[in-house]
Amino acid sequence: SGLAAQAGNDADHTRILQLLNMVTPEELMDNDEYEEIREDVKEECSKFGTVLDIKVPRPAGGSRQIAGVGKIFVKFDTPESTTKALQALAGRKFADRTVVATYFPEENFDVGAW
Amino acid sequence: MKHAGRTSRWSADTTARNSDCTVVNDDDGNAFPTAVTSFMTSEQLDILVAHLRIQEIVRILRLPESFITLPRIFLESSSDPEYDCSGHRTKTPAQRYRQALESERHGLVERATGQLPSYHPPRDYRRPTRFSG
Repeated sequence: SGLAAQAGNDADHTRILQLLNMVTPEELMDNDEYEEIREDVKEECSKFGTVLDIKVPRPAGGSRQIAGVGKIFVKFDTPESTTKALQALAGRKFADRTVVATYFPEENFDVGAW
Repeated sequence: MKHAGRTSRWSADTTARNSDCTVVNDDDGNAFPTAVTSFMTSEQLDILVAHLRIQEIVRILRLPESFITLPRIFLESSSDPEYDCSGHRTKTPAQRYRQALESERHGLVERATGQLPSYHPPRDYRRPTRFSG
C-alpha cells in the first residue's frame, strides 16, 4: 500500500494515526519537552480509544534531517478509534500549530519507516 | 507524571469546533485540508504541511495578540536578560519567538521554492538580507 498508482484513492483506514505539523526538532531535543509532548498526545488520544503505542521520531544530534521528525504516530486498538481521533484532532491547535491528521500503514509503523 | 498546574498543549475544546477546522485558507483563497482521508505520499504530505505552516506563521506574525501569550519554550530564558547600548532589553521572549517564526518561515519558503518552481512566497515575506546571532 504505498504505490503511486493509489494516489487519489481513499487512504487505508488503519489503526495508525499520523499527526503532522505538531512539533519542531528544537522542542524534541529537550528531554522534558519531549516527555511532556508524549504525555499530552497520549492523554488527548486516550479520549478516542485505547492507545497501544506512540512513536515520536526525534532528531539525532548532529545530522540535519531525520525522517519523521515533526510527526507523531499513534497506534489505537481499532481502526474505528483511529478514525474518531482523526476527525476530532484535525484542525485542533497543538501549541501554536494547526494539526494535520491522516492514516499511516501499520507495517511501516511497526518498523519505524517514516 | 504531569507536573502540577501544567496545561496541555492541545487547544481547549472539541465541542465548539466548526467545519472550518478541517480546512485552512490562505490569502489567495487556496484551501488546505487538515483531515486527510485520501491517499497522499509522504512527499505530498510534506508539501501540504509546509504550505499550511507558512500560512499559519504569516497569520501569527500579523496579529499583535500572538505575542501576548507565548509558547512556553520561549518563556523560560536560559540566559540573563541582555540590553543594547541604549538600555533597551534585547532578545526578549517575544523577540525570540518572532525571530524563530521568521527563520522557520524562511526555511519553509526556501524548501517550497526548491520543490515547486511555481511556488509564490506569501506577500509580506521578505528574504532575509542578513542574519543575526
